[in-house]
Amino acid sequence: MEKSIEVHSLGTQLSEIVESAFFVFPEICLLAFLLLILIFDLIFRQKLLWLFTITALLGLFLTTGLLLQQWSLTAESSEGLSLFSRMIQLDRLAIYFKILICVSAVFTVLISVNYKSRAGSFHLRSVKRIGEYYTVLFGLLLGAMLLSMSTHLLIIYLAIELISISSYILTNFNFDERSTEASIKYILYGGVSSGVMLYGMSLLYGLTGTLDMTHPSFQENIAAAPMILVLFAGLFTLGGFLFKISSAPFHLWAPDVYEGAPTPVVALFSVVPKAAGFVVLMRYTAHFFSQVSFDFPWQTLLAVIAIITLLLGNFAALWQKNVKRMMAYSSIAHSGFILIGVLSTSSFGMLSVLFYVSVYALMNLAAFLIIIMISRETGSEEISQYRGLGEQYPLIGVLMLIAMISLTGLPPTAGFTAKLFIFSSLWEAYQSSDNLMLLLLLVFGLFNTVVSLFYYLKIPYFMFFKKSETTFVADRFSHQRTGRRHDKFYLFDKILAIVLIFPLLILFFKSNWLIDFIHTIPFEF
Amino acid sequence: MIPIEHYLIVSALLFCIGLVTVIIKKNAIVVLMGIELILNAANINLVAFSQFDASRIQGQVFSLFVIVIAAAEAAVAMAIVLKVYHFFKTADVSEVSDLRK
Amino acid sequence: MIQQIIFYTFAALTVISASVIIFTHNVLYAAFSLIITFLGVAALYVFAGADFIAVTQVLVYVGGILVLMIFSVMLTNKISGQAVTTHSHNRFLGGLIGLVLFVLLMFGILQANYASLFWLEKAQSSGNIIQDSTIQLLGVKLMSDYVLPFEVAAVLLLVALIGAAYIAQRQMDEK
Repeated sequence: MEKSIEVHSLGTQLSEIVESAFFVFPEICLLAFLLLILIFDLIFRQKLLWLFTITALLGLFLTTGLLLQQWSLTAESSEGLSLFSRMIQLDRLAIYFKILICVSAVFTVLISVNYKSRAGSFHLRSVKRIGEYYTVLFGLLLGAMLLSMSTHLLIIYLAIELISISSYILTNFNFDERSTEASIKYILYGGVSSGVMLYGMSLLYGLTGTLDMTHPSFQENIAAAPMILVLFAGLFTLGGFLFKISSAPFHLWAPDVYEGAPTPVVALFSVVPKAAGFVVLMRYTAHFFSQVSFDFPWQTLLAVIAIITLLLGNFAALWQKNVKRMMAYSSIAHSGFILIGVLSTSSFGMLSVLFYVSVYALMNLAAFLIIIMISRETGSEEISQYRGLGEQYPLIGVLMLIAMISLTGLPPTAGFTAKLFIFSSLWEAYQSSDNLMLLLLLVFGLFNTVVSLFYYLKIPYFMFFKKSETTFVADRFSHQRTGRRHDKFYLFDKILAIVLIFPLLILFFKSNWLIDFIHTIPFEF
Repeated sequence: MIPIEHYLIVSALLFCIGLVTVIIKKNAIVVLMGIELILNAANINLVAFSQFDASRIQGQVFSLFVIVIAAAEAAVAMAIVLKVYHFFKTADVSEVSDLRK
Repeated sequence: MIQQIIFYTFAALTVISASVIIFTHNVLYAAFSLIITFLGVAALYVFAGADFIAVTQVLVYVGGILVLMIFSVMLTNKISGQAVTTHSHNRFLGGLIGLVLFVLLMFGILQANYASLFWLEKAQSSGNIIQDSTIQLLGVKLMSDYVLPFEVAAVLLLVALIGAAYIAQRQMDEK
């Protein structure tokens, strides 16, 4: 008798799993293309290199299409579906971020096409085993897409590890001293922070008896649990998320990794894991911090983290001579700004986070694309090498100028609108809570925007106002003059840069286009 | 039955030892040993709490996945350590510092 | 009573052999004492009613990860009679952080009074406590409730395998 009941419930459970599988078609599609690329790699070893890029793009387009279809199928007010026995939650928030992740990935693939590393060991047009690059890249995307849906601690851990391990491997793809050094540092920092996160999760499990953050008993037990252990569990787990968004005090890996890793991969790192990290942080804040019964000032805690992140990122960026290292500190600082939106917790705060992350993805990808183009020209990533480039190549100079203005947050670019939303959500949060720390955060945020002006505008300043040391740098590129001289700035890259920069201007004047889209997301976790 | 606190104390000790190892050791392989200690500490917690979760044994399942991932991570880490040795002729992290110059 | 003695013996063995890693300078000694730690942890799993996890621990950690580590110790050192050593830095800072953290954790654990935790109390009163082997339940759970994590872990292993092989293989090409 008992046995038959068990079998019956197992049967319903299995049919539930099959039903759930229909809702993860985008992920299944991505996985199918991962395997397809792997099989192609076995068949066409080192031949037909363009085929891999086409297949990867096709896979990403198809996944994006499926996601858009999913978006249109989910109702605006629905709470979201719990799938695979409450492992993941599919709601519009997750779908929005998954679309963002796929679109960023499309641009990353396009950026990678013409990238050539310093020693030439990473160049998708000539490199051997291009298949591995796309396989690992798709693994990272799969992890990020899962992370943006996850509400279960086990899935959060697995998704973070999938992203991390793919990242360690991708960091090493230049195969030179610098990228190897970057990847060993990355894997050591990453291993420690995920270990600490895991310890926190194990304590959370001990305190609540469940791994599912949306489970009612999770919140009940958190509310009843003793303070010190809840603090340890909560903060340790938070540490793992802060690592993924490269926020202080878990930001140490970022500068070395950004400098050493291949530039297209860095562009991806600065967008995709970060976006996924912010979704999980938002869910965690909603399910954990707001449930703690005793009077723990977690909003203040996040505010302090945001202030430290802003200060560290912006002030360290001032002294950098290498563009990629500067962009690393800049991305740390941007994490601080996005954290402001997360800690506001109002639905306007969430809206500003989504808007900021989307704009940030565009401007960061654009900036890294131009960095790649210029480093192909000058053979260096030092800011001092940017002298006089603006006069020689006005188009590149203007595009860089717009990207940098947007990163600073000045009008007329979408970066300004994004910062405006973030700060007004913070002001709203301050007025409703009267927490002085939030006011302090506002002051620091504005102050840091001014600081960031100096290092962002240093690049256009070098490009337009400093004269190039050598007259036209014929000697430096004599080897290129003989052959394909027009190779320096491929037309393809120029068009791509314009495609990335143009929306930054559009979204300033027509920001409600994106806002209306985001407004249809119900912010209930 | 062993009281649950005793498992937790052992795991807290292992966690702290692992963390200290990570902070003070220079050799990349020893740092990885510290990371494995931290993972083991978390696993002890998970398994110990799982005793009271007999119908769902979530903790045991979680710890199984942790072991799998630790193996994957160790494999990648060792490959990178070999690569580091190939370029720098040392596995000492503090001597590996080409960046930032 | 005997059960308790065995438990505390293994617990002490685990902690002592783990602390050897901090104090020794010899990397190989550290690796070998790590074996004892892993075996000790496996014994603790048995006491907590996790027989399958204990076996996996022995197989994967001792049989896999540690062998890998010892191999890479060998491969990253020119062996010429002298011991493979490691130096330490930030000793004071590291010790301090570890000690403070441990004291705080101990305080938290002892103060928490687990027996009164809501869900533990409920589990004890309803007899929801592991009595015998969990292998069958573990297998069923992996293929039903945890089928998604199972697949994700499969992808993760695939990516890690490709990555590790790729990183190590290139090195062979260059030589």
